[in-house]
Amino acid sequence: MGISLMYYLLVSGGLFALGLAGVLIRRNMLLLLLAVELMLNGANVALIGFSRHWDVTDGQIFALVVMVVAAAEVVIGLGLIVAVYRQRIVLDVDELDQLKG
Amino acid sequence: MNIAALPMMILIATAVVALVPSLAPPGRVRHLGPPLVSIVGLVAAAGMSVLLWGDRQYTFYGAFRTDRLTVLMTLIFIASALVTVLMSLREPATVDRRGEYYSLLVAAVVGMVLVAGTGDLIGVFLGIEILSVALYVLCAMEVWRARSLEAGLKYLIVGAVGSALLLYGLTFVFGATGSVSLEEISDIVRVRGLGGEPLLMGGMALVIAGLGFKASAAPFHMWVPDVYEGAPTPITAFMATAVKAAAIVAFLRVFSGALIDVVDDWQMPLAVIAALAIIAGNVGALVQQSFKRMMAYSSIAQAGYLLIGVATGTLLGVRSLLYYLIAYTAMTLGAFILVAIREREVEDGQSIASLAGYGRRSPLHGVVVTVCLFALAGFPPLSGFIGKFMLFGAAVEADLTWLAVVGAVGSAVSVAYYLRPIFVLWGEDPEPGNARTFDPGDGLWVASVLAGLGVVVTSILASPLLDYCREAAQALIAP
Amino acid sequence: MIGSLAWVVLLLPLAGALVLGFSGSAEPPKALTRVAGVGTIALSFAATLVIFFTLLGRDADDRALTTTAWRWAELGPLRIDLALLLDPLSVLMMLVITGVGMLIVAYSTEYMNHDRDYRRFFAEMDFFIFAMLLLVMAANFVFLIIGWALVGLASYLLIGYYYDRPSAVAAAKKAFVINVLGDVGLVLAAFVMAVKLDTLDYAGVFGLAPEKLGHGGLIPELIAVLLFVGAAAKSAQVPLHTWLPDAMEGPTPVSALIHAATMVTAGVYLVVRCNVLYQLAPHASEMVAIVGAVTLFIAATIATVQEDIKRVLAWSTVSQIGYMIMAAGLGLYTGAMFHFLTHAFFKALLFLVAGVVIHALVGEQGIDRMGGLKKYLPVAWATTLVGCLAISGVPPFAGFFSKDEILARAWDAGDLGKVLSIVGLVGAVLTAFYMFRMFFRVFHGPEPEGGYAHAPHPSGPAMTLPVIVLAVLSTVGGLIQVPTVNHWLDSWLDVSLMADPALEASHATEWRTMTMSVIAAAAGIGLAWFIFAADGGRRRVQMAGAMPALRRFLLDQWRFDPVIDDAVVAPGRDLGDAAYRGFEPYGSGGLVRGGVGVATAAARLVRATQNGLVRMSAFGLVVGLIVVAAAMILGR
Repeated sequence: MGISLMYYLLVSGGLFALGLAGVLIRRNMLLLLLAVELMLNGANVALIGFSRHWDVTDGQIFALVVMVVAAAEVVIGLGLIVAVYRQRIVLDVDELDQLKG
Repeated sequence: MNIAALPMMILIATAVVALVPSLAPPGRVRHLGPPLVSIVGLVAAAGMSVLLWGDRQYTFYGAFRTDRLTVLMTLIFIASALVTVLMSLREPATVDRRGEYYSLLVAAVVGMVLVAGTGDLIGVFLGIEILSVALYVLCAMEVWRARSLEAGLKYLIVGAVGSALLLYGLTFVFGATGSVSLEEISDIVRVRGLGGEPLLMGGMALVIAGLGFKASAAPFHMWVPDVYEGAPTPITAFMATAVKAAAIVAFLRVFSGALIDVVDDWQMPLAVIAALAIIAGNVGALVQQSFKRMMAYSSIAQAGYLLIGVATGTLLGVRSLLYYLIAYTAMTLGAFILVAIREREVEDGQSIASLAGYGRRSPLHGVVVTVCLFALAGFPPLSGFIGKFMLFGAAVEADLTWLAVVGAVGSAVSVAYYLRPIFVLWGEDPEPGNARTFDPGDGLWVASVLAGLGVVVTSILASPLLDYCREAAQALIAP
Repeated sequence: MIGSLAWVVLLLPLAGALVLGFSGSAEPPKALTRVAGVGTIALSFAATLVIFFTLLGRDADDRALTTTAWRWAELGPLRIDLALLLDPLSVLMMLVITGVGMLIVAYSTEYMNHDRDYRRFFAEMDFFIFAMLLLVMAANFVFLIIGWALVGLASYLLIGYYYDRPSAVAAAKKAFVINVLGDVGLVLAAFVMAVKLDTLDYAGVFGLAPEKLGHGGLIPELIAVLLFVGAAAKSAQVPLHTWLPDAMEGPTPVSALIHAATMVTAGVYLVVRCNVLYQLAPHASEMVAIVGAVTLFIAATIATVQEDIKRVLAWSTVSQIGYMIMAAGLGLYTGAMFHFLTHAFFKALLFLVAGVVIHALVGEQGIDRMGGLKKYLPVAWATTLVGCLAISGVPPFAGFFSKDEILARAWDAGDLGKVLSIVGLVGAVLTAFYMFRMFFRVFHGPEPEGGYAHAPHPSGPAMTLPVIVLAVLSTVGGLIQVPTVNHWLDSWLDVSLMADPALEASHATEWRTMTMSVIAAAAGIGLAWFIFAADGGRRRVQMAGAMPALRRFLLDQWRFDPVIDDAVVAPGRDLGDAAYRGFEPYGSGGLVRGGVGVATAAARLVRATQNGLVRMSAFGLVVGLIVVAAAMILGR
């Protein structure tokens, strides 16, 4: 119990907020994916912290699951971005504007 | 492992086997193999589920629970998936990647079943992610169509943010209680009296936002019209029904199930997003020219009605919600089937104008859609009316009268846009003999009949269905 | 046994409609369509006859039974069964619906022979008859409303039968919108009943109402008024009557079936069925009676100037239903049903003969371009004469007894009754006048200028036979209830009319009224003869310019249409069409339009956030999170 729960939560909250801000500000699709990754990993840090706080392994298992899911999400995301890039040569999300109204 | 997870296992096997026919050389096997495997697997899983109707059974060391609610929801998911499979038989999106298409569809159902029967928070997240990831791909399946690709990518980015919010919320719930097991959380919340605990409240707010996103409630709805419009129509229908149902059952499992003792904390935010969804959906639908987009807005409003049932936090509310969910699935599928048909028959088939005179030319589809839209608008005696009536009644009993009023006014507004396609449908045909570009095929015909029957049967057999819904609701709330 | 027979009666027409409606896309052989279309109704009628005679053979107290298929829904304490009610009232309605319906459908086999979509016509007719049967056979208000709505839907389809004719589509929409308005009234009434009484079964409502609602209170008055909104919309009572004349856009058999014999009498049925409720609501009843009287007068005046043979009959229908509604409002429930019965005979007869005439003239409907048809169409001439005599109330034809019963009993039903009885008498003069105006101008008088392009041809047996049967019924139908001689209908309906005040006219009143109404009929006929027939129709030409203001006022149908259009139909239609056409700019004024405007503005706002940008969606997530958190903190 070297590090108190508070520090875990601060780091986690920081990462999550950073990721959320990135999603709102960034326009490059690749960076958007990275921002989402940050959010997920922020959650992971919190999971580990809580897991240690309560002295159970549940949180760590949860974190492992999240990593797998995040990897899957990124793979799909990259695939789609490549497809869009091939078709329209854009990386800016704001150029995706055929669907509106 | 006992047989409690058998339907899910069958579905997983189906998702794998559906890929196999793609190995065959081009021809009949490769073409019809995947949908056939899917249909067989889905039907088998449905049959297995029906056999499991009964008291709760655990498997995977408590991580998965099969009770009446799980079974009922599994049947809804499978029914929706079956109709989607039938709708997809000639879908352009499935050309030369049929194995992947059907495999992903069944995989999404696996995720949904996992959500419905999950015993812990991990399962909620994992299930939601399995179905989301599968759907990101399905939305973008028509890669050569820019709109489809755009829909998929938008859905992925926004959906990933939604998932992150959900995950962070689940993390906080875990942090506040020290357990991921839903049953243990329920005990801990009760014993320790965690009402008003900031960490738990923060967690619940995030979970509501994350799940509200998946259920497409307002103000998390902005992706809905775009994605629904861009995705291949069968996938849109699937998202509007099964995905929404999965998000709703996640709400039920987490809030009405595990966190029922802090209902005072989460009732108001849920009621607010329900009201916002009803308002945003109904108002947005009023001005749409595209039938598909109108149905997207309509599904936002319907998510609001469904959330009323969650917000009540009562047995009656959950029971009404389940009934309405069944009814909603049938009527929404029916409406989307018409979109799928018109899309293939004429240019600009998504628009309301393209429906002109169609009812007289094809009375069967015309009648089915008319019935479905009447049901969506909540005309008595159809199931939509019974469901809304009960949901509003449950809201009044839970001291949420204002929410019932919002819902009733929203329904009244919705009549305007639901009747419009009906008038057009049975009105005069501006240019008789519209040339067909594609034959819609028999699959859509069967799907249409199934959806229409679904609406009629849920309307006529309301009483026994409501009994089943009560048992399912009791399984959720009872220990 | 007759319980299950009731289901047969109900479901046979539905089966016919389904088979015809969904039997593939190709037009099947016409003979097959005929068999399916007419056969199902005929069997249904036969089954109804069996039920009727079975009930007739029973004791009076034993004549009502409910047959339940299953419990449809349980909403709290409210239990709703899918159940049918067989009692003298519903059986009487069933007899007319299936019997007259069968004759009209048989007639249509020839009338529609050269029209297109033969099969669709019979499918929709069968569907209508099913809906109408459901309406009258339902054992609770829920299924009454379902039948009510389905009837509206069927009539929408049938009025819009010629769906590429814009006027037909417009008429169909108008009828639908006004009918939906009525449905709303019914639903609200049912809602109040469900809240106050916890039941919607007829038996439950009528059993509990006197005790739980009390007499003359606000709640029973409210229920009665709301129910009457539904009744007025369906039965075309002022001010919701404007759809009926326009509904003549449908094929003539449709007009005969829906807009004369059955659908429009649904309102009368509703008021009579709910007699218990109306007896608890004296003010609402008076309102009903006054609306009926006003309608009968207004419609009769308008009918005197119509130039289209079907529109004369349409306005006459509105007027005759006014008599029935007036009677029902005064508590003369038997009188209302009696007039319903005879009216079904003679009005169906008149419509069908009109169809014969139109058929003979290859679609011509203006009475201006008719005349001297007696020598071409002798059978039509004779049967029309029977129908006109019956509707004018000349003894011993059917209309005489029923109209006389209403007027006589109304006279003895208090002060209001006296006034309304006089209105009815004036209406009788007008009725005789406009019917014989039509009769003389069509069958006597000079032929139209230039003669007929084709010699009018009499119709075949499938059209003639139903007409003759109806003519016979119009002649003798009134004999089931002759004052002071027999009261068959009174005693037959006794069981259904739980709260019948059983008003009886004194002998003196009977005789006085009979004399008066014969004089009224004679006056009307005489006037019509004097103007239209006496000197070969020349006098008509001279009088055409007389009283132009009044004439125009009547031709404008008392200017109801523009007013109703602005107040009811336009907003209703707009609500449906609004987004379809894109909203026209504001400024059209009116409260409702304003409301629609607000809704549109809001819709625009919602759309503005919908710019398709991913960031906007993500932003929505954050906003939503804040909303949720705020609600969570404030909601505690």
